[in-house]
Amino acid sequence: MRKILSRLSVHAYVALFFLVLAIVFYFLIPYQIGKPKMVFGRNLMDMKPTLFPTLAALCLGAMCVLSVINSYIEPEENPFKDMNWASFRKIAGLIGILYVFALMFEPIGFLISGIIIVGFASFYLGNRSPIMIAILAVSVPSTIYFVFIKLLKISLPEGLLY
Amino acid sequence: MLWDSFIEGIYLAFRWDTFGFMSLGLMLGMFVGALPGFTTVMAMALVLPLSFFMHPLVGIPFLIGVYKGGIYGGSIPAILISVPGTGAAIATTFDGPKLTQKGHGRKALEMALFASVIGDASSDIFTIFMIVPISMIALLIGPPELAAIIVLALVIVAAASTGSMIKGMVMATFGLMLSMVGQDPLEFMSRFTFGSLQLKSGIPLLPMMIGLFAIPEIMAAIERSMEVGVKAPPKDAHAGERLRFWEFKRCLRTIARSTLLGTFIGTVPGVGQPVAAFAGYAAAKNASDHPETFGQGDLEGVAAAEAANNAVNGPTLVPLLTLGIPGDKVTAILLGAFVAHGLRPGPMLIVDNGPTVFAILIAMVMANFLFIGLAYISIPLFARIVTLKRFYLIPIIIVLAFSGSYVSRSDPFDLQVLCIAGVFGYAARKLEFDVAPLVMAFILGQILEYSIGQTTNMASGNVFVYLFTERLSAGVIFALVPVLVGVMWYRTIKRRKRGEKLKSKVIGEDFA
Repeated sequence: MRKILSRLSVHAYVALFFLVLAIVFYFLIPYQIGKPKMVFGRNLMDMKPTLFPTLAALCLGAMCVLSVINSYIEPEENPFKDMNWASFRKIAGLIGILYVFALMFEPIGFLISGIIIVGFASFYLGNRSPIMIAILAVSVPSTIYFVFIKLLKISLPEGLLY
Repeated sequence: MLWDSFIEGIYLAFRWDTFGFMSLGLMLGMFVGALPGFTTVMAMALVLPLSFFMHPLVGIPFLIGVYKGGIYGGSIPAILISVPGTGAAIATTFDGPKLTQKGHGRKALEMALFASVIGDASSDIFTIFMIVPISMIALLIGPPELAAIIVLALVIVAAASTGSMIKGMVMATFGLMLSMVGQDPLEFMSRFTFGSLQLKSGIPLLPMMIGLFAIPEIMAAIERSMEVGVKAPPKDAHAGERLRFWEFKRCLRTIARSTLLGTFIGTVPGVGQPVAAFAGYAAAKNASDHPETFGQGDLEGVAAAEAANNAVNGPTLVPLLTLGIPGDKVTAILLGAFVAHGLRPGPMLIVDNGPTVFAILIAMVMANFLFIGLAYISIPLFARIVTLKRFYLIPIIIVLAFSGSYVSRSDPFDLQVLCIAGVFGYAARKLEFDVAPLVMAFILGQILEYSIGQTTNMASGNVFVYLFTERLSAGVIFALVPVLVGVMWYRTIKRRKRGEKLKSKVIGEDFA
């Protein structure tokens, strides 16, 4: 058993994760899909509403099992083996910036949150010229705001400017 | 009637705003294509929301312009610094950089331009002629055949995806599962919403596409910039002698051969530009009287690769427009644009919206002629942006991604979908899962379920007998799918055992 586990790569564990998802999805089907509509005691469609989701879950499960077997027969390289952890931390930071932007977008407004995020992101990614950061932070969201609102007549959240 | 639609389409195509936005799209595509690591797909995903607010004869040609510009734009860094800007330009790196080293950078860039335009324009004209007969055949297709074709298309896209075929199938089936969130297409019952109001109409496609295609590019760009900087091209690498007519004439046969190959490959869903470029290059080398010069800086090598990869552009629209089945990420994005403009791709598209469709296709042909002029003048400009710093570009992409995701429904929930899809897309990329089958299956999932539902109704219960007696073509395709999966998997394993795994030279793993 230990030998089998030692041959399983990261890819196999990912396939197992999807297998668990498929199993959970399969067991959720009766609770997340309502009973079909009946007209004069007859179902409108010959196909049960649970059939297609069941097939999809079974297919995913089967593909995941094949993927685990494939990963065991031909072990693949661990993609994180030679990873540059400094870049990983940078990317994690960027994900944080994205989530903050998503939270700020409507309440604070596109223009103000855009200026903050563009300036901060540019600095975070290595730009050290305050003038260029300021120019970028103001010009990019303003240009997009102008194009969307004035030219294309698409609304963006005003937020604090309203 | 179709001839009248075609003539009307010619009149409709000639609008100043169509040409204006198409030119803008071409330049934008070239800009993004010239940046190593940023793909045309990302650019198209970012500007897709903008196209929703334009007239269909402006918005869709705009997207097509971005696509075409991007495919050529990828050849600029490929030639100047041996780094393909897009996967389509990998084969261009075999001869392009050597030509630059010899001081013939400008010649190579011009050859790439002319070969691209000829390949693209020829295949676009072919597409216009093919659309009509294939649409006529597609009108004979019913729900059983459509379901069978969709299943086959998903299998092919999964098999052709980067990463292993099984991983492609995992992504495709996961995409099918995601497509079930929201409403049942047959009886419109809510399912898998977990009580959430936002999920009642399903997972929104636009933020998901932008998240899967654009956000991972940003993260990969950060990773690369921290590992290795993109080296600057030699000074005035894009300058030098211009291409002579006799040099161009010498390559005409190669361009023609590559165009034919690329056109054929373009009609097969999921195969794409990199395969066409390699096929065109290999065919040119085999047919050459002096194959030893290929790889040493031969203009024919550049012409062969570029003509082939651009010749794919037009025919990829054939399965999309006639059957409503996108064959790759680019056509998945174009499908979104067509649907947003009320043009539902499928067998009835030409019948219901003939003039508009022909106008779009004619605009596509005209884009090539616009492109020659625009690109010829702007080559020196785009040659300079190859080393543009990431900390200028990435914030711009972030703001565009967020604003584009928000505008379709003005719902902050879409921004959360964007972030989650972005993280998922990056993780998938690191783990060598291609997200193209996922997006394809997500788009086609509801159509597939609806078609299967209609088939069971038509079969009155006994689907198996019905398929193999009254709808034999559909039955045969369904029966062939597991055989095809088995054969492809067996061949993939054999190829990997022989160590013939294709190593991608492009930085990142997306191919467009």
